[in-house]
Amino acid sequence: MHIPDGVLSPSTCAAAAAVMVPIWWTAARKLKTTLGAKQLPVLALGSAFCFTIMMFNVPAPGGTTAHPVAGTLLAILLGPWAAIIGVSTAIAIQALFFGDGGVLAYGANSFTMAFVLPMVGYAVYRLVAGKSSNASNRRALAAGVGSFVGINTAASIVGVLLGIQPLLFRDASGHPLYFPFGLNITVPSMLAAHLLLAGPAEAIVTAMVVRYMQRTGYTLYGCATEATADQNRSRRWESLWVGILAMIALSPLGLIAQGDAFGEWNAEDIRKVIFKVTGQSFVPKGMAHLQAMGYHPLSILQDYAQSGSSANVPGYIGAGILGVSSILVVVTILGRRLTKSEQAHYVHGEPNPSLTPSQSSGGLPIWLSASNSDEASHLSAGKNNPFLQRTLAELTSGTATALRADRWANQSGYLQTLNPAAKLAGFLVLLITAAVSHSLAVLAVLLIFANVAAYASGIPVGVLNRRVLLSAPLFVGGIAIPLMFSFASPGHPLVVLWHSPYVAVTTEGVSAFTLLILRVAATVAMAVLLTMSTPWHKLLAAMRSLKVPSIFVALMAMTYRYITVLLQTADDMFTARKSRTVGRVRDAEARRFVGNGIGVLFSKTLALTDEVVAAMTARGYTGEVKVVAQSVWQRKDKLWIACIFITAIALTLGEHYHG
Amino acid sequence: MASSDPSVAVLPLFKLTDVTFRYADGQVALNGISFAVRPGERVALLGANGCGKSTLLKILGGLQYPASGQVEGFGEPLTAARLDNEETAQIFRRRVGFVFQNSDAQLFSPTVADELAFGPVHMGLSAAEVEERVSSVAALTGIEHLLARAPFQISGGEKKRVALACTLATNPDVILMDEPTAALDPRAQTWLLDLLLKLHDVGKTFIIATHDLETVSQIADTVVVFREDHTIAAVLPASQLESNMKLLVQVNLVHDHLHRHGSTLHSHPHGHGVEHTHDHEEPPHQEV
Ligand SMILES: Nc1ncnc2c1ncn2[C@@H]1O[C@H](COP(=O)(O)OP(=O)(O)OP(=O)(O)O)[C@@H](O)[C@H]1O
Ligand SMILES: [Mg+2]
Repeated sequence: MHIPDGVLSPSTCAAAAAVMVPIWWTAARKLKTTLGAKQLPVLALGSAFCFTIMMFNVPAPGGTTAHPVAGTLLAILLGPWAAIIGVSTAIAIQALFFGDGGVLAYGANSFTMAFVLPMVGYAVYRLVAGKSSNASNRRALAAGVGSFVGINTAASIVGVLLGIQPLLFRDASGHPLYFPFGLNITVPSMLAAHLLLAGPAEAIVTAMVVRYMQRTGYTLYGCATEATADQNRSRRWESLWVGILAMIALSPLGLIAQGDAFGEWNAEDIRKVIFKVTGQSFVPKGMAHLQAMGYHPLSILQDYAQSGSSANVPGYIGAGILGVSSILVVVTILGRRLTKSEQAHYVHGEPNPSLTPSQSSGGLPIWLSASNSDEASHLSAGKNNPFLQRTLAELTSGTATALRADRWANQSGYLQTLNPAAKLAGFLVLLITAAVSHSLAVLAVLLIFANVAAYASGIPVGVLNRRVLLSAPLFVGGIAIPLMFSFASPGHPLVVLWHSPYVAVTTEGVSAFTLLILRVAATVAMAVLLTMSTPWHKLLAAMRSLKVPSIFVALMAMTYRYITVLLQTADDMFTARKSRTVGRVRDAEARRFVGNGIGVLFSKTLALTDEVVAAMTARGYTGEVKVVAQSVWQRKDKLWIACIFITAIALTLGEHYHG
Repeated sequence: MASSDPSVAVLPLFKLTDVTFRYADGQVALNGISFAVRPGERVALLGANGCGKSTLLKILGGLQYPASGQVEGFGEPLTAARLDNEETAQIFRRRVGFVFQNSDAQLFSPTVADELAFGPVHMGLSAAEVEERVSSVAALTGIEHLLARAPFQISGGEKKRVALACTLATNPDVILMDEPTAALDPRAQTWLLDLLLKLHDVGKTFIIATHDLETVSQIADTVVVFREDHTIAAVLPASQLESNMKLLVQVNLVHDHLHRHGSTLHSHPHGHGVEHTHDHEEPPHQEV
């Protein structure tokens, strides 16, 4: 569900961030009053927990696996405000270190995964749970239903964000500037994947974790037994708040419900909706321009229909969805292959079945003293449980990435000698330049720059490029490939694949494809290069000196710190499970293991939180973050930032004038 | 220093009277505990797993409050009401340092240097003073080479050193330690014992939870022995511990070790690290 950079227009990103700022602010204020000095450690460990379980794999129907998003779960356990901050922090670290989700798209990703998902999920949970007691089955069921609705709502909002891109942003000749496919494709494909696969997995796991926590006697958020009248009043206000925010979150869905066939809007419809929402009359310039030129939002499909055999539009929509989803699946599998081969050494580590007979005396139970080597030898340990392998492989590589992040950051090279704040600002400028660029030349220049800078800093160019290729573009690869063909980009045929129905690779298609891939690659390269050349603690200091609120920087710092602890714990848990796995693991059993595992991890997180709170208090922490002095900017740093600005402006202007 | 001031020396630094503690789930962790700690004294809390040592340390550190009974620290009651007051809390925390059992909980900053600076910065020292503290305490504990590393990039024993260093950085009068020797290799253990001796010489008070019988007589003057039912079995000078093997068996800290001598079985108390010899007349000694 992570949107990478380069597929949303910068204005969409800015709008989403603008929506998130007051939400973060409200959440932070609420938490400050409820948690007091414990705020930082509780949220940091909550975020680290959230990050860790987002790395788990849950068996989903059809032999696939899905990652839990955990927002609803976090809201049920720690409250919706903590969930907003927790998931936001987790995806910030994913974006910075793992190339999962964009840096500019951070606001949009936060909106869907950290706001819509937990708020809607929690509201539905509260509705279904009613006044049932902390330990009731109804609450576990409510958790399942809530998380299911939450994840599907969030997925459709992602669909909306992607789908409005071609409606709002096209170039003079009618080609989409950013994401190419409309609502009629994005919303159904996002929904299909989540209704059928990720949603059920998320629901079952959430319900099971809640069940587990109920059994340990944990008090779910908002379930305190001795609530006084005063608390009740604030609770009521809180549910009102939750309701209002959930409605805001859901409002984009209203956009879809408008009209009888969504996706088939024209400028007039958009004007109506925009007027309704903002009270202002406005039509995206691009659209008015397009319609004057005779284009319609559905032009892609209409072209397809004209050149094809029949004019059955729903059929084409279906075909489009099917095509996009199947390509997504193929690319995802290929991606897994790539990641897997990197850790081939890890995946095979089956328990040794040939046990030596142990002493039968000495008070040992008799069954323990009998050898079971015959029995064990014909069991295919771990073969049929990809979820274990996959989770382990991902946890291991995640731990490795987190732990060895500053392998190159500490050597001496050009980028490493720059002031981190200057470097951060510079890369941000370059990232924005890449994200707004529509010129192959500009993007190529930026990519070449990234490679040269990496080379000058002793960072292996191969490693940089592999990280760029492995992270976000997989997502775009799936979406961009259909762009090459005539049904998505009608135009001059390059290779005709099929005559009836007509399918060809077009010149326009290839250039649209290359542009999208290069743009995403360039943005990812900037983020990756920044984190590869800067030690984490210096990056934090840089954020502070660029006036990022110190509580947020402290939260990121502590979250990252405890991600390493929790990842290790989770890794140990899965390894232990694997070493005790003999024979086939059924999906249901695997899901139960993940559910209980998350529960155990949460209990451990709680215990660790108490200890961290104690350790911080013992050293005089009272809730106020204090930091040591900052580093200064040198001539070299000013020179660097000046060069970056000049280059960025030159590239952007050059593109503007020369097309 | 406390020890050089005779008027303070007579007052106990900590005084517990009939302290009982229960965790939220009703689990009793301490049951009617009473004892006192003099300034400059080195106290070891000795007992089997789960007897309540860590819990007691947290109470002494003002991080948890007993369900019943009184706790006094520096002559004043240690209550939630008093430690919620920021000023009293600051003064108290400045005087009491805590090395936790779980180093991962204690090391929460992005780098070791930040970790060492955390306490001094929150005490309100100037940047120059903080820097001086960090470098001198790093030198004292031999972790200068780790300053730029992240806490997750160092080993368990190194983490313990850093945890000790960041506690010392605030220059506390009393140091509470939860199993400080647990992760250390033999050489590092010797180093720690040396450091503790030096700190003892400048008048620091130690309260150390441990089940390491080998080092207890070197790190403590007084030993508080806990029973498994969370009560105190005895408070005795460390020198008398070895002659009290029965007591240690009673509290399940050492086990009746079973030896096979030829065809006869015999049993005697056996604690790890405590030197013991076998004296048997018949049959001839031959361990298997
Ligand atoms: N957070 C907690 N919630 C509930 N019970 C707890 C908690 N922490 C400890 N206990 C229980 O309180 C008792 C005392 O625990 P404590 O951690 O103080 O033991 P300890 O003497 O330090 O043990 P060890 O030598 O294993 O560190 C134990 O029975 C333990 O199970
Ligand atoms: Mg303990």
